Amino acid sequence: MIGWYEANLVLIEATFLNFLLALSIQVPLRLGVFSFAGVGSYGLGAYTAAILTLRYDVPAFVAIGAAVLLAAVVGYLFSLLVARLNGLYLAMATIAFVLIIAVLATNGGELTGGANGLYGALSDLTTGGVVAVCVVVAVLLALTERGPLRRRIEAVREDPELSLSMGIGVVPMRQMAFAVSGALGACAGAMNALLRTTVSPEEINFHLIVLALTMVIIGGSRSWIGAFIGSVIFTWLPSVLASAGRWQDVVYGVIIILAAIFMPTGLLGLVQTLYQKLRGRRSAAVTAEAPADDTAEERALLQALGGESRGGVQ
Amino acid sequence: MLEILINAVTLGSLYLLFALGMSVAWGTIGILNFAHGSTFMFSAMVAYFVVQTVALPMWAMVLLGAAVGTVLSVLTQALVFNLILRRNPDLLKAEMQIVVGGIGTASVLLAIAQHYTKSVPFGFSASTFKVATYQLGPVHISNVQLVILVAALGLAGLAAWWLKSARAGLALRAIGVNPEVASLMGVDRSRMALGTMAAAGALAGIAGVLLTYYLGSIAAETGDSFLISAFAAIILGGIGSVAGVVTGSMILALAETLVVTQLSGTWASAVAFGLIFVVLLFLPRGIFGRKEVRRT
Amino acid sequence: MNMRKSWSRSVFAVTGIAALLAGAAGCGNGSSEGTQASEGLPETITIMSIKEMTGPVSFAGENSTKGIDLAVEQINEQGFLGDTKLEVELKDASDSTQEAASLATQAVSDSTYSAILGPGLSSQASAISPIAEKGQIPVVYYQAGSDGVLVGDYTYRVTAPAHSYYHIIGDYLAEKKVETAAVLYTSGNPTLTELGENAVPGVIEDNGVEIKRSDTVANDTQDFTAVTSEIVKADPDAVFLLLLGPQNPRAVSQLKQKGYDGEIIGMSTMGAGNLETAGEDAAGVVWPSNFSARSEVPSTQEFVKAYQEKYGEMPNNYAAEGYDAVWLLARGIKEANSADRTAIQEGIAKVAAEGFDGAQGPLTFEGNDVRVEGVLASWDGSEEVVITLGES
Repeated sequence: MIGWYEANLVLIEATFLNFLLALSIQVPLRLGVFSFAGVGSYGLGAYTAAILTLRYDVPAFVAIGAAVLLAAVVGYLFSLLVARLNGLYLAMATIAFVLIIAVLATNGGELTGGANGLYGALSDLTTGGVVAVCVVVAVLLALTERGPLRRRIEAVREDPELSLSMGIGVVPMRQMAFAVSGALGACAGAMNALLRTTVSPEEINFHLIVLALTMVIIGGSRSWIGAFIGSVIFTWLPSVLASAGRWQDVVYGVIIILAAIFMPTGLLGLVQTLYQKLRGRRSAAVTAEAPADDTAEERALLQALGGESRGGVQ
Repeated sequence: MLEILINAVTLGSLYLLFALGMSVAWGTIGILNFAHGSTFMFSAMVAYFVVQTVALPMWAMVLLGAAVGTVLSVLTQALVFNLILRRNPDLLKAEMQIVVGGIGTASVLLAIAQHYTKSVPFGFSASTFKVATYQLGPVHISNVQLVILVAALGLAGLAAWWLKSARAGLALRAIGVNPEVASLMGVDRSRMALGTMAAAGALAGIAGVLLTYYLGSIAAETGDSFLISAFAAIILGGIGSVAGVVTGSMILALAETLVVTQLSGTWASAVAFGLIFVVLLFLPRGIFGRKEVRRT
Repeated sequence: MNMRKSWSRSVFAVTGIAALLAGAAGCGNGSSEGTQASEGLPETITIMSIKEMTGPVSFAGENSTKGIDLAVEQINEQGFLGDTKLEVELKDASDSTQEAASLATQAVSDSTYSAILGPGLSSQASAISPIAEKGQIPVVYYQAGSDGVLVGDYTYRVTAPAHSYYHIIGDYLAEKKVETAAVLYTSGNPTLTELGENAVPGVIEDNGVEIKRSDTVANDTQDFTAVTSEIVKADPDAVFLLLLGPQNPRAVSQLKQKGYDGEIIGMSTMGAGNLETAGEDAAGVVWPSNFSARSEVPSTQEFVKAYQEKYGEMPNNYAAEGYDAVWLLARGIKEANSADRTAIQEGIAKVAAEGFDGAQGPLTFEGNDVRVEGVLASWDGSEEVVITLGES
């Protein structure tokens, strides 16, 4: 067991880092905001932590804390800038943000190490520390997935205009999402840079955006559990598929296609639906289809929103 | 200066050729096909393997590319996007699934191409077509450059005319504006979608072959590099408008060319994307974007 | 796109910078846990080979593996290590940094592995190096030219950095009476940037040639129309192209299409068949290379002959480097007379201090980084040849 743990330490750590990265996309997505800025923050965080560690030899938590804080502020300011953008236009603007960060890193001269990147950032960050951070993040996010806050988030996602008229602070919530997304992305980037002791501009690219998006969509976009499922799958899948040899990349693509077709609400959604079906069948004798908590809540919300307008044409 | 302009228009035409098919599918049936870059590359690769055994002229290569692109695109539509939409009839909700399905398709095509080409660049030197260069005053221009310019603008014009005047084009635009009402009016959406994807695939294939002629060679990963530029060009111009994608491609190309020649190639992508950023700040729906009716 | 694939074709940094940083990890005295420290060789010695067998750089991993297999076959047939057999376990890391790091961790924690044959991508190598130094397992890389790859005693590299032999172009410049030059390099790649900013301009100016222009392109640049027309306008006698493999044929063709007829000089990314698609356009392009199968050095010809017998094709530089990597390891093992990792590392250090004749010719080491004499390779329109300059 200990042998297995040691041999796979890199993948175990990567699972948690990918989890944070996925969350940085998922948090805005839950509000209906299509932003990839979290991936840019990943780069920002990685470089901030590496520079602080290399130049000032600060302890890991200071380096990570500074990276998170900086990225949260940048995320907030960025949200002010893109306040008028929506949908895929917003997605494009955030992709531009990510790519510009990568170009800045390449051209940062001595500060960022140019195309070489930075290396030798030895720190005292441990795997335990990474897990602890992830647990805290998961607990905090779980709190946003229940009670009135959850309903407000869903209202903003389904119909921002109506939510606004109902007195929900759509704009502050959006700004908050950008800041949180920045913090999460930076946290993942900073910890990755310190664990691997290096960071290079090649790491911050479009494929990281795609990875983060795929983890969230295939895992499940509504809950932190979905992000976690996604990060486990996409961290370990390549190693599992290595046995497929030459055709592993083809199999990988086919799995993604099948997931996109057959799991419209992600793996988490699929599990939930199956669970509800089972439970529904059992309780069918008692009440004619007892609605699950979730659906009851959703229904209440929809009534509050005026039902019919949901997802409709404005 | 004239030369810079010509070079910018050439690069813009490359982007335009690539982006046109993607833009048509996205602007009408609302499918953002992330496998477009792989379709582009795969068509060129098949043409390459064929030309290694039979020395074909350029027009035959273009037709071959278009055919391969059509087949790939129709398969993608039938086996991936259509199945996603059937399970998730609300296009807005299905958007993410379609993006991810396209990503999966792209990685399958890329992996196959990487396997057969070993990612070594391939080109059409075995084709009967030979590049020739002409000197017009101070400017060098090659025959393949001319073909690219004519093809890009010709196909864009054709697409614009078709969407505006042809009956099928009208129906497509109706879907783009409001799919539900369109289907009430008797527009067969899934058949239209298949037809559109076929056309988009053909455009991808034509672009793949022509760009390989122009660049001399491409590699399995080349499609990916163009994808993001095309995405930027379409967004910049505004989704759903042919004039938009033409303008977007040209502006993007001009910006990149100016940066490469006047500043440094390292900054080219940063400046190009910075520009998109600025344009979007002032025109949140792109330059030619219509007021969005589908989404708030 | 494929999400695990690098967005641009992350190129093989064909060379590197020799700034060897003093070992960050302590020089290991204690033998690594679990490995038998006793003298003498076991029946088999297992080595993990982490290569890019799929993905955008699979051509390098595949050729390197061919060279490795040939070397292992020779070592076992000759009985170079006595009765001990060398066994290489091939692992595919594609182009994923995470996979590479993970495989290295597995090798460290599994005491059956005595050493690692490392990958060629700089990003993967610089992720493996700290793990290897900490876990005290010797690694021999090929390619991987970035600064952060060789960080201590346990990491070695068998691809000489281009700057160490680029000066051999000097005589060619003199023979062709080159007086002005332009440089175009890919700025997203560490090796090419170092070459384009410092090493190559240094060589050019040492030969009394004036640099008229210096331009850069990005990793994902596909079209060279704009930049080549600017270069042609400056009308230099020679253009130095320091680009990623697939960019080379495009840049060469587009320069020719713009009417350029001067010298085109590249670097080793021009090799390995990358110019094939440019065909006749690329005839006459020359580049200093660490290896050419046409080189007349005896140890190279021996390798080429054995390679052709086994595979029926000419070896390229990746194959030669893979071959040399195994021989470096095997010599180190013989020197150590032990399967212990630390002992092997010390053995390799001894071998490196003396140097040996390999597929790339006579090899010497500067610290842990190899040095070669270098050859002047050229493309004659259909294949790679070696240039020998007129007696002078």
